Amino acid sequence: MKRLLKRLRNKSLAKLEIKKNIIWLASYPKSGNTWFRSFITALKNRGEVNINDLKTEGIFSSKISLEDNLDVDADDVRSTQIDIFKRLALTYQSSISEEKNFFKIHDLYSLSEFDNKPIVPIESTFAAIYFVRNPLDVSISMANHNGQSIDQVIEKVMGNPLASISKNSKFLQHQFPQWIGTWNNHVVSWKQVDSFPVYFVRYEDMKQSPKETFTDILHNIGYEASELEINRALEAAKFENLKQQEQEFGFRERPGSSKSFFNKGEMGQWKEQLTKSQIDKIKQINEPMMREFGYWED
Amino acid sequence: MFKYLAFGMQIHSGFEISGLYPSTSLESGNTVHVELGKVPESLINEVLEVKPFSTYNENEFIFNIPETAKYYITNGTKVVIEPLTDNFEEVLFYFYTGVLATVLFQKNILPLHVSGIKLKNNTVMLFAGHQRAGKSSTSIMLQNMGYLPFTDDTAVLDVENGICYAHASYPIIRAMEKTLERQQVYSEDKIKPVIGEGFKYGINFHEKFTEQKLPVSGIVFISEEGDEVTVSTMKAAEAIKLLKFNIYRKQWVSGMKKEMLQFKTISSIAQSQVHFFSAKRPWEADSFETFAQAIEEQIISQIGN
Repeated sequence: MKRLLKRLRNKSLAKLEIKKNIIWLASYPKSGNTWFRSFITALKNRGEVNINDLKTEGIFSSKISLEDNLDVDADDVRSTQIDIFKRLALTYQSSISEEKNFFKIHDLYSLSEFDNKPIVPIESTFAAIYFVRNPLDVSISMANHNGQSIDQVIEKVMGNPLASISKNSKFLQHQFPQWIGTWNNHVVSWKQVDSFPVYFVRYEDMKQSPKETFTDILHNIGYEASELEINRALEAAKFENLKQQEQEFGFRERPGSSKSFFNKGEMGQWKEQLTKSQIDKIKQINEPMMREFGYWED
Repeated sequence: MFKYLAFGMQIHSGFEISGLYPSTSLESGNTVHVELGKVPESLINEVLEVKPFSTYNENEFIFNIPETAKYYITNGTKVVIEPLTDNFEEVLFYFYTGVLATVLFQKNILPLHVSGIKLKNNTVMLFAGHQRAGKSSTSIMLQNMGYLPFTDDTAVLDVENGICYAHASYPIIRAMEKTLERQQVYSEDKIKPVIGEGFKYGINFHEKFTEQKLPVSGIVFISEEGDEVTVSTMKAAEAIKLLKFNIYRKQWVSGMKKEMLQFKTISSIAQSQVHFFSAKRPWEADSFETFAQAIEEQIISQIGN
């Protein structure tokens, strides 16, 4: 990135100090990412959350970030330049900011096929928080989100090493394609990151012990907040409140295929809703990380 | 010397610019001169904004697209292009979009982010919306229904005696593959990828291009919301906020000190005789044909005949 900045002719920009302000909110879809973004919003906003105006800085795959930062139209950029431009845009955004920037990311952590460098700009990354959720429950939530059956989700997404979202370039897409792969591969990819700290947080711990878990996360990333502020933000970002907002005002991040973004958010739904065959398939594909994070039941 | 018309401006170039509309006008005042040359290292005057690809102040702008080209735009009258690739179509593509918009800003003209069609009463209907809202797709579906194209993605509006007029940008429509599969108006030889390895295709419509400015009957703000297509009228006071959001390259307004110009431009449009509408369609749904039909039945039939 520094090299690319230097290649740009303008000397002022080449001298721009690169700041490590980015905190990635990484997860496989439907794993508590939006909940945490709502919590951060409430923290920044005196306990108020509007799900259609979240105060985190954006989404890694968003085309708008690239367009606003680079003054180009994202759909017109050469496909071979997109990864480079995305990193450049967010490095710029990080470097002109005076505070930490939270970016949601669903991409599996990988190297760009075009320049063999990490897809995210590591030189402007402070840390990542990785939200991990029992894949058996993820499958149910994702089926609702995608408007697919659970069998389709298992076959086409959670069991597909090449699974991607926003991939169909024939349609108008507000986000760049994101390779997510299988649930297991996704978790493994972020566990292998050694360029910056990655803090893993279980969705189930967020549900069962919210105060302790959210406080720990803030401590890890050096975000200062009082007990009162944390309690107020947790209350504002409660699942029921977010769901009610969606019912009243809609949620701009809800895909057309889904009836509601905030579905149930419960733990252990799989025990009631998955067949033995579906459970076996998910376990077969995802065994290593299910064992690692305490989701394995014989 | 090659002479062209874009946004109502005369463009004189030392080389062919195939995407622009050839001009036969003898006027030479207010002309934009385009030439190939060496782009300077930095601005002459104080830099007001520095971004990865853009460095600018009120009257100078250096636009540097890696591996494509550098562009130096001054005073709204001169453009110097330094290609960095042999693919000259790609070099010109950024000229059509970012560079011409910069020229307009420097001329104290703020382009709007709109596509548009000509109506039977020789006025235009404009579709405003953010990137990927479906402006071009809506326009193409209405062209399938017999309407002529007016402009794609951008236009310049001015108000005279309470009437709002629009100048078309240049005769290229940019559209996604899915939209092109549905269009029945243009032959394959008119369609080509905008940029090699890019996602959009360009359709040339030189023979249908309108040189003159035309009165604007209505501006339709299109968005993705809800589960069905809906159309409603909008008051001017509501439109002001959306017009501000639909300034093309609105992120330059502050750095180029155009806040007052923005206020005047938007106010004059809002106070003109233009009708404003909101049209919503379901997000991610393949709804453009239904959308175009609703716009024809509920808007054009009222004000466009």
